[in-house]
Amino acid sequence: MSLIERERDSLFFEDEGDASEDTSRRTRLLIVQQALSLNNPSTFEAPTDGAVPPTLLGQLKSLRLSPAVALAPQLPGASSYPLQEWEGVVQWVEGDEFGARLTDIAEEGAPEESIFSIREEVSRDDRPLVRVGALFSWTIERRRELTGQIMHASVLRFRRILRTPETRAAVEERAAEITRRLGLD
Amino acid sequence: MRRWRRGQRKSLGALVLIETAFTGGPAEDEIEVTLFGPGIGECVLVHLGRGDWIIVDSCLDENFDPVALSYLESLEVAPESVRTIVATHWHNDHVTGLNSVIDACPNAQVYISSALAAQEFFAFAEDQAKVEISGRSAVHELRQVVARWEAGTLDVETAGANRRLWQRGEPLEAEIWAVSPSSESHRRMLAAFADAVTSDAEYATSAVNLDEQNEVSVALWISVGGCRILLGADLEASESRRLGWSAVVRLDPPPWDAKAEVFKVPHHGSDDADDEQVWGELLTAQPFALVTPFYSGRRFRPDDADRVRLRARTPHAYITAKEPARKRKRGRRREVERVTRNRTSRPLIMISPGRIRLRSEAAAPAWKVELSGAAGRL
Amino acid sequence: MVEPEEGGINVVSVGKFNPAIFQPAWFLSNGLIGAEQAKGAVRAKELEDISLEGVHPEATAFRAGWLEVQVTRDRCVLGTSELSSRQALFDFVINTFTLLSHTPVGAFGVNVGAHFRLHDEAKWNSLGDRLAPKDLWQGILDRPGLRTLTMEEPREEKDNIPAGWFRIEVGPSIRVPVGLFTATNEHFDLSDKDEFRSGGELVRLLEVVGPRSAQHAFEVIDSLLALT
Repeated sequence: MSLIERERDSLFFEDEGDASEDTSRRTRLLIVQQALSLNNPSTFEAPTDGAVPPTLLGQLKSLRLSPAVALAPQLPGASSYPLQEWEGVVQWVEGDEFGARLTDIAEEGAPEESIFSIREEVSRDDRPLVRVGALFSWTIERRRELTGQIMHASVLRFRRILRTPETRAAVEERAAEITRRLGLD
Repeated sequence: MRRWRRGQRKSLGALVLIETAFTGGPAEDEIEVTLFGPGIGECVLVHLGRGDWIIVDSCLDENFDPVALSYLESLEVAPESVRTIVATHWHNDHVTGLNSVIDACPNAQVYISSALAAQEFFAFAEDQAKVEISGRSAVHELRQVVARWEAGTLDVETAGANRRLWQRGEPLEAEIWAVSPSSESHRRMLAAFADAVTSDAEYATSAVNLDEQNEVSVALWISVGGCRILLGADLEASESRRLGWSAVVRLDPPPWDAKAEVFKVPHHGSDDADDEQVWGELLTAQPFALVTPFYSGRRFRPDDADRVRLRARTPHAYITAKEPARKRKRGRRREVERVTRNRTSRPLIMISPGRIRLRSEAAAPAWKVELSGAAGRL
Repeated sequence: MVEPEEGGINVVSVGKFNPAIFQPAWFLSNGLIGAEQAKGAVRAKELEDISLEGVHPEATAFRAGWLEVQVTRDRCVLGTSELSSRQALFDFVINTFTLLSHTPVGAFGVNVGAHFRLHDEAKWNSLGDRLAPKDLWQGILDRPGLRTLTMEEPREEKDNIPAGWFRIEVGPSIRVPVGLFTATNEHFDLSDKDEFRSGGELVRLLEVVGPRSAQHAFEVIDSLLALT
């Protein structure tokens, strides 16, 4: 396999030895060849018996793959490059508008502020996230669509930083440890 | 130093106001109060005479260095002369650059609000650590202070109502007292921290407005020789006698023996921090009222009504930045300018620097004012 | 980073996964993506007509808006071709492994790749020659040319960050004429004597190193391009 032709590598094989319940079903498995070349010894371990296993699934199973990845898009879609990026924090929300403090991620400097329209600038998915204190990224990007068309877009994306009972418990545990170590308990 | 008892109010001699330009640092027996307020955040430096300094809070200068350090350097004052550093609040807006100031001042005792030396605050700070902008959470500086305290590399003390933070004896007696938070404020603040952590909100948000957040504020009373200074931090007024300024004016015994001639107006001059009793009982008839603005968000402070009210209280009202800077940032890529120009929004707001500096002889207060940068009369 | 013709970033984990979990509906129900993004998910063509009930036990591969998901039983690839969405990607990976905190993970890598158009064939040839001098190969090979070069910087365990490496691969692009292809891989080994650590450990590390790793990759790539 050519070292360069890693971007998309659809492989078809017959599932022969998997101990799943569906072994009777023939399956076609998309394995995106993510790792570096098979010829690169630092990435792969050769099968110990010296023979190449008959199926690709078997072949991959015998290898320990590094997480290195070929980075051309595997699943077709748009690509974009950021021309300007800010991190934002919502300071207030009133009607259709919200105000935010913005930090330019490319250079340290005084924060800026701007006002945004929820209806015009926030996706439907993100609208429930708009509240005081919410974090978002604001990017002016150059976008290339699948069709090849190139455009410049202003994109707001609100951050989803999950809070779970486990994360809360971890926070409390750490706080208790600090309190103990400072003798404040 | 005699403590004040009710019925023993002293009156001061007439104050002479001269707006001037100082050269060099303060003299040995000269008291200085310098206030920086660039539009977000503030920093106060006080020279207590005899080369002793206190730094209250921290903000950045136009080079994004802590303004307290660049100011001391400009006066050729060694940071070793700083005796006390007080963080009056937990939010990064108030204390940006604090840890760098602490690093530079090896002889300074660090004080934080008593409401921050508690498990509830530690949990809050850890919770906020997940929500970072450019690697900093809203509690970044205080969280670092706590981490250093925990590691044993920094000695931290707490400041609460009627606690003396520092004193010096003859020949020039001086004292610094914290006059807040009250114990009730302390309790309410801890409850607010706990509520924030246990909230069942699905996604983490940055602590922009925490309920009761200014309950944690450390207001300071400073007396040096004949001079009295009240630094109001962000402490708010309250109808409850156990909270805010209502609790301060009821301190018993109070730490003051005379009224203050210099007042750092609390909470950017907003009406929620205005207390008649403070003006009537703790301040001289026409004190020097110094304001740092807050030029961020929906409502700037001080607003027009605040300015009218403050000017009615005293003719000596000053502000560190008369108006917000409005210069839009230029030099971005053409495509970026084109897209942002077409947005229907108000212009981007930039932060501007400004300084108010007061000096007086310690023995008999006769304050002179110097304004520089964007600072001016209110 | 200098603007590429095409680029992408992903986080790849090696471990033990159940691809059936990694479906748009699951991500939606746990608040990791919104309804519109889930609705618009496009499954990889190769899986469309063979999956029963929309779920395949051996593999998941779909794209939903900016997000690309590809999971097999031992590899999980979460990525995007929209470099502006890299923060969203890190949040997504952290959220996923927060929910799957007990999933065994043996290693993970942050990977950045890009194709650059150089415009100047002489510069393109000159870079190839600097990276792998042709005269070394004269007499050994007929008309030798560089196809790919990989450099590695090893990393020892330090400050609670596990051992691993940073690698950069560079070579002529097959997608962009007179173009350069770069791929970086920052690898973190999470196995202790063949025992895997957990998804929770991946979360802890990614919170610390994620955006920094991407930024480092951009800087290395820029340094390489500065040689042209």
